[in-house]
Amino acid sequence: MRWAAFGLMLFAGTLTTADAQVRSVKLVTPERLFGYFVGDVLRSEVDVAVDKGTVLNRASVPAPGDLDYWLELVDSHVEETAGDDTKLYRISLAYQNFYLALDARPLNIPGFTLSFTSSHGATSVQVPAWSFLISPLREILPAAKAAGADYMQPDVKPPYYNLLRERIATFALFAAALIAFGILAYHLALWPFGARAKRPFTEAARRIRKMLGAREDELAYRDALLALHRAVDATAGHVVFAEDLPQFLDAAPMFSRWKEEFNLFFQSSRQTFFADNIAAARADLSPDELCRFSDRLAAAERAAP
Amino acid sequence: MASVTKRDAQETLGAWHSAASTFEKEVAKAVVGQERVIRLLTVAIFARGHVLLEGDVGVGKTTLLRAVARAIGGAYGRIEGTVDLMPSDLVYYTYLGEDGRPRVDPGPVLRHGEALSVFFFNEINRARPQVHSLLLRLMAERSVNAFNRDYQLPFLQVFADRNRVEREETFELPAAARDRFFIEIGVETPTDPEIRRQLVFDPRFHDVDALIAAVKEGVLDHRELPTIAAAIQQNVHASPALQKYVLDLWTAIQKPAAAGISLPGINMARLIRGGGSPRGMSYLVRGARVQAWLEGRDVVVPEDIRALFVEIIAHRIFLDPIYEIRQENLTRDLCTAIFAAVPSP
Repeated sequence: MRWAAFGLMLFAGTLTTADAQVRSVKLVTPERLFGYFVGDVLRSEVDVAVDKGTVLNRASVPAPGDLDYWLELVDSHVEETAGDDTKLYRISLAYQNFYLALDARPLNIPGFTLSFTSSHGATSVQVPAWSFLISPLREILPAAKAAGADYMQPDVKPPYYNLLRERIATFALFAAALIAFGILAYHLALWPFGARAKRPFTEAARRIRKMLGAREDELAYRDALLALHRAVDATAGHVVFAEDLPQFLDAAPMFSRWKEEFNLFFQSSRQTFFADNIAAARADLSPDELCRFSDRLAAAERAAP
Repeated sequence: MASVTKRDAQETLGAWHSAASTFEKEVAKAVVGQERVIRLLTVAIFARGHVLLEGDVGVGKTTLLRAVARAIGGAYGRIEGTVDLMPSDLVYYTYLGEDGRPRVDPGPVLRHGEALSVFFFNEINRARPQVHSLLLRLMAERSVNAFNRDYQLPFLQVFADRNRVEREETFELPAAARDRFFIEIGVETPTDPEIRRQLVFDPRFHDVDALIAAVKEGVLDHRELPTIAAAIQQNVHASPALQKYVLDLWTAIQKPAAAGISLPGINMARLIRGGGSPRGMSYLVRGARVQAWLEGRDVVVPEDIRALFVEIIAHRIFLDPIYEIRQENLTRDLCTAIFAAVPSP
């Protein structure tokens, strides 16, 4: 918005005291001062430059409220900017006009007095009044209409805004966000990339506990050994025989502290499956021990990086 | 009564087990760095199977066989395969006598009669197919017809050697012939630097005859071998789980794709044209029982099967023609993949 410098420079002569505590006063009014209708808001600014140490008396700034039956001060606020040895007060004022004119006529915005205090005493500055031309909104004598509603003008249609660009941008950003979330989920191995590292021993331990808990017979023991065999195979990525144990433990060092137990396990497995002597196998590695062993392996597997 | 015989059998087997260890040690005196080959030969001897040796020239195949023959005891016969060798040359020896008349005497196979325990056929792929066919009969039936009668050779074990360097003037062994060999053993040059140094610089290895003479003669009694071989087969136990495992392996050879086996760059559905004859699989189990016994066990475990699998089965797997040129490596990879994939127990 461009504002025309309408105001005037006031110098010491216009001030009530001889001290040059107020350097200048400038009133800025709207550039156009005609063609206003009822309800229009007019804004003006008053710039006052003062010496450092001179303080505006805020109470002297007009407070929002009715100024006349047709004029309301709707907004008034003060901005303060400090310079090297001066201080600038900018007082922004917004007036709303409620005068319903039948012809074009000038209306007056009243002036006011700003007061300042400094170490030298009080000073006041007169801000001048200014005026604008108001215009009528309707004809004075409209042609006769049948119904009262006919005098009403149609509402202004709401403006059409083309939102295609915004819509495209929204979708594009949404898609980008989705992709970003996808990448993040993949990175953090969250769902749906949550296929966690396979945990064969954990799974086997769960099944073994279930099997041995449910039945005490030899078949359950056999199945439990088988489940653990499959877990060893799955961990190694290939079938592991008893004589492959050292290589297996080298490849999976997190289990190497259970070497003794592994040996017992393979020994029992041999007894069970190849010597058909489950009794001897159970003497070497009881079902309880087998269960505990698989639990330990599962824990070691989870603890491994 | 039955338990008494069983205990007797076990005692005999125990005694033979130490004899077998001595045999391995004696043969190792003559041939260094070939422990695995010696073990495979020992398995073949106690499984009464015929052996096909393969390998480069000069790795000590002949020395090895002479050492084995000496340690087994019994008579030893040998013949060199040549392109003009005829089947009759195996059984007949024809020459002019001192009186100038032609004579026909028993040839290398028959010269020692029943006592022949090791017959060594050198460079078998230089001989013609008609020689192969006679040899096949000899191997399968341990008998031969000559001088209008049948000769029985109950203790015969054939060791053939196939030179794989040359291809000219050779006759590739037909599948049926290879299937009749119990085992095909590849003899490689030792890789251990110390053993290589010894082989080249140690004067002990320069005189083959002296080397063979150092091997104790007749560590095993060749006349007892068939009996003890039968006892091993009867007394070493193959559990149902092991039987299932072997059958699974067999299925996997024939239908590797169905067993979830894949080799890089190979169409698994096409790869196998025929694999693992029933004879081959029975040889495998026979060998595995012997291997278990040599390891001091009375049950067969999958490790025994694996130890012999490539040597006994690989040459019985027949590949699609487009893969045939890579047969050796492919079957080896296939065997490795099968053992990695088929679960045991």
